[in-house]
Amino acid sequence: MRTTVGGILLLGLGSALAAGCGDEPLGSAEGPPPVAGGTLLVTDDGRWAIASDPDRASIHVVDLERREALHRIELTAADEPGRGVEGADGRVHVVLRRSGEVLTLDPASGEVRERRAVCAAPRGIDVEPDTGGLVVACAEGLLVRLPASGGDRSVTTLEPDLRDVIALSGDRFFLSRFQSAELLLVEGGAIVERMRPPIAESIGFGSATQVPTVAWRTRAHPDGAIMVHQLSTSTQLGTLSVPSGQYYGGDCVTGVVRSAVTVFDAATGPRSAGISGASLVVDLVADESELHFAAASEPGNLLPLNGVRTMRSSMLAGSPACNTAIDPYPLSPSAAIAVALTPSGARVAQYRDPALLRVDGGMGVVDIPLPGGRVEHLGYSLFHEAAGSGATCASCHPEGGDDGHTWLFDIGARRTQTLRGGILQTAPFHWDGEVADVGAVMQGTFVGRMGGEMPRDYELESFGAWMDALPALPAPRIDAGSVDRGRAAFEGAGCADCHTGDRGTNNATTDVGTGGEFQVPALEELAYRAPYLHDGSAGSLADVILTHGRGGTLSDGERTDLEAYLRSR
Amino acid sequence: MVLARSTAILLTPLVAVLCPLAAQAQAQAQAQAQPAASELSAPRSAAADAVELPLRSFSDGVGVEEVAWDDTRLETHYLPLGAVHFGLQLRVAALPGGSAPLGLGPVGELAGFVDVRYRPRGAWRFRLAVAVSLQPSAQILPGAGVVQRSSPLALRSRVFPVAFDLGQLLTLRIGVGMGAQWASLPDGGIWCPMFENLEELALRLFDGLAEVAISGGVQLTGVAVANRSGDSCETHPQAVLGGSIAYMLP
Repeated sequence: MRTTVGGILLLGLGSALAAGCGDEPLGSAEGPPPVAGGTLLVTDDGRWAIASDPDRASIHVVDLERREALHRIELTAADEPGRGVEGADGRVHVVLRRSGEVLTLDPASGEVRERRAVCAAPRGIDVEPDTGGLVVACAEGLLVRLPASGGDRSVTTLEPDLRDVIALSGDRFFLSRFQSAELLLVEGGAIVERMRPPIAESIGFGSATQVPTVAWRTRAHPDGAIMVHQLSTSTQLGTLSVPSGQYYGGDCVTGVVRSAVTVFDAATGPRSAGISGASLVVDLVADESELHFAAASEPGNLLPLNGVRTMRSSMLAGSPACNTAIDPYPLSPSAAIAVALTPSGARVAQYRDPALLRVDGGMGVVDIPLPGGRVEHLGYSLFHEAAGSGATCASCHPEGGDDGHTWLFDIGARRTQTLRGGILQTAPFHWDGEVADVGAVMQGTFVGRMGGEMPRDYELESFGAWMDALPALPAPRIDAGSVDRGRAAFEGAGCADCHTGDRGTNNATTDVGTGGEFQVPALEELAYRAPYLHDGSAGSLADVILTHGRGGTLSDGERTDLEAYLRSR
Repeated sequence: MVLARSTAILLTPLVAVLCPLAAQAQAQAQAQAQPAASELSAPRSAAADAVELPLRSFSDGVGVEEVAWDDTRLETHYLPLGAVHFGLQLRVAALPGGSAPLGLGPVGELAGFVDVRYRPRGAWRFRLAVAVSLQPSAQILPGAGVVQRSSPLALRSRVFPVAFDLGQLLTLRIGVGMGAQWASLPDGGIWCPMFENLEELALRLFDGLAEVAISGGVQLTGVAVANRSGDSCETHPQAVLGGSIAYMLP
C-alpha cells in the first residue's frame, strides 16, 4: 500500500511540474499582421456584420439582430482578410490581401462559395452600380473587374499604391492612393482627375507646412468621397538635435504627423479637419451630421487608448484646422480598427484584442465577443503604441511599410524606408547607416523624437522579431522573359556588386553618385514604393536606373527589362 | 450489532463536532465510569470470564444494543497511536475565481508534515507542514511593454493549530500558511510573498496510516509584473478547492 501511495505522490508531482514550469513567449512566432483597418461591413438590411479578422486569420459573421457571432470562417495567415462588400444577391465578397484573392461567402449559412484570384495585392473592393460586377483595386496599380455573371476578369493598369475603390455609374471610379493620399477619378480606364487633401499649416513648434500622406480609408460620401489620412510635416526638422517628443502626432496643434479627414466635394472643393487627440486613425464612417473614426493605436504608459471618436461634420472646413474629436467611448476595450453604421443609424465598431463588435444603437451599448481568443504580442503592441507625442511607429511605417514621405532634416532629405521583408538583415539602419541595432533606433526615434519610454530588452527582442517576420508585399506578375533579360542586365551593369543576397543589399554605406554615402537599400517591394533613393529624388525606377551606378550605359531595351526585373523582386 | 457499530461510528464524531472539548471529557468520564457500566454487562466467553469486560449501550430510539467496550477500542480511539507522527501529503486543487492572468489551476502540492498530539490520547493535535506547490502559469500582455505572469511555484510553510480527531475516522484541520512564490519574467524572475488559509476534513484509513481529505481555503497567488520601470509583484486572492491523500511515514 505504501508503495502505491508513494507512486501516486511522485506521479502527481511530476505532472504538476510539467504543467507549471513553462516559460511563455511574448507573442506568437510570426505575430499578427500590422493594422490595416477598415475591415468591417454591415449589410444593407442591417442584419449581418462581416468582420475580417487578420489577427486570427478569420472572417466573423455576426447576427446583429440576435447580437451574437454566428459563424467563423477560418483562413490561414497567408490570406489576411481585408475589405468587404455586399453584392446584389446578398452575398459578401472579401479581399484576401496576401493570397491575392476575393472570397465570396453566404452570411446566413457562413459557407464559402468561391475564392477567385484577382491580383498580387488586392486592397479595396466595390460593386459596380450599373452591372453588379465586382471591382478590385490592387496595390500594384491594377483595377480588376469581375463580371457578376462570372467569366473572365478585365484588368486596367493605372498607378501603383492603389487603396480603396468607389464604383460610380457610367464606368467611372474613385480610386484612392495609399501613400500619396491622392484621390483619382478614373473614367473609361484612364485617370481624368487627380485630387489631394489640402496642405495644412501646423501651429506647433514654429510654423510648419504639412502635406497629406497615408490615406488609410476612403469611402463614398453624398458630396463625393471622404478620406481619413495623415498629414506629415514637409518643413525642416532636426534629427539628433531635436527636442524630446518633437514628433508629436496625436495632437493636431503640434506634431509632425497627425490624422485628418477630407471630404472631396465636387461643388465646393475639399473640406478638411484635423482630428485631435486620436492616434493612428485607420477607418471612418459618416452619417448626416457626424463623422466616426476608429483609432488603432495601442495603449502606452503615457497615453491611453483612443478607440472610437466622433466629430461633427460641421467642423469640416476649407483647410485642415485643428478640431477636437468629441464623444469618445467611455472605456475602450481595445484598439478600434473599423467602424460602420447600420441602416437604422446604429454605430458598429470593431475592436481588435480582445476582439469584439460594439453596437451603439442609441438604446445602450452592446458588446458582441468574437471567437478566437487573444493574440497579444509585445512587438505588435510596441509598433502601434502611441508614444508620449501620440505618434506611433505605424504612423510613418503604415502596415510595416513606409509612408512615401521625404522628410527634410537638418542633415538633408531622407525618405522613409520600408520595414518589411526581413529588416534585421539590413543593419545598420537608417539611410546614413549610423544606427547599429533596434535598440539604438528606438532610443533615437521612439524615445528621443516621439517622446516614448525606452522599451525593455525583452520588448526590443519581441519588436525586432516581429518586424523581421513582416513579409514583403508580393511582387506583381510580370513577363518572365523580360524579367530574365533584366536580371542579366542587372548583373552586367554591376548592380549586383552592392545589391547582393536575397534582400539585394550588402548593408554597406556607399557613395554611388547620389549625393553622399548612404546605405545600399534592399531591393524589395520596388513596384510599390516610389519615390526612390535616400531623398526621394527619383520618381520612378527608370529615373533610378539612369541616375546611379552604370545604369546610364544600358540601352533603352535593357533599362526596360531591368526595370521589369526590379519590379518583380 | 452492525447497526450499533455504525451508530457508534456516526455518533462519536457528531458529538465531537458539536463540542470537541466535551468529547474529550466524555471519553475520560467514560473510561472512569467503566466499572459502573459493567453492571449492565455479561461475560461473552471463557477468556473473558477472567476479566470482566465492560459493555457500552447504544440506543437508536427503538431499542438498546450493547457493544463490548473493546470493540470501540477506546484506548486506541485516536489513531495512529502516539504523540508525534511524520507524513507526506499530495494535494490537488482547483483555483476558481480571479481574472487573467490567474488561472483555474490545478495546483498540485507535495507536503511533508509532522503531527503532534497535545496529549497522548487526546483528540487535539497540532500540525506543521512544509509544502512545494506547482500550478500553471498564465500571462497577459496588456500593452506598453507590460508583462504580467502568475506564479507557477510556491514554497509554503503551514501551521494547523486547530486539528482534532472527530472520532475514529475523521479529522478536521484549520490552518494558515505563508511562504514565497516565484514567477518568471522575460528578464529573469521574481519572488513574491505567499499567504493562505486552509481548512481540511480528512478521512483516516488503515488505522490512521493513510488519509484522504477534502480541503478548501484562500490563497494569495503571486503575479509578477514587468514594465518599463522595472519588475514588481502583486498578489491576488484565489479560492482553493480540492482534495489530498496522505500517509504516515513508518
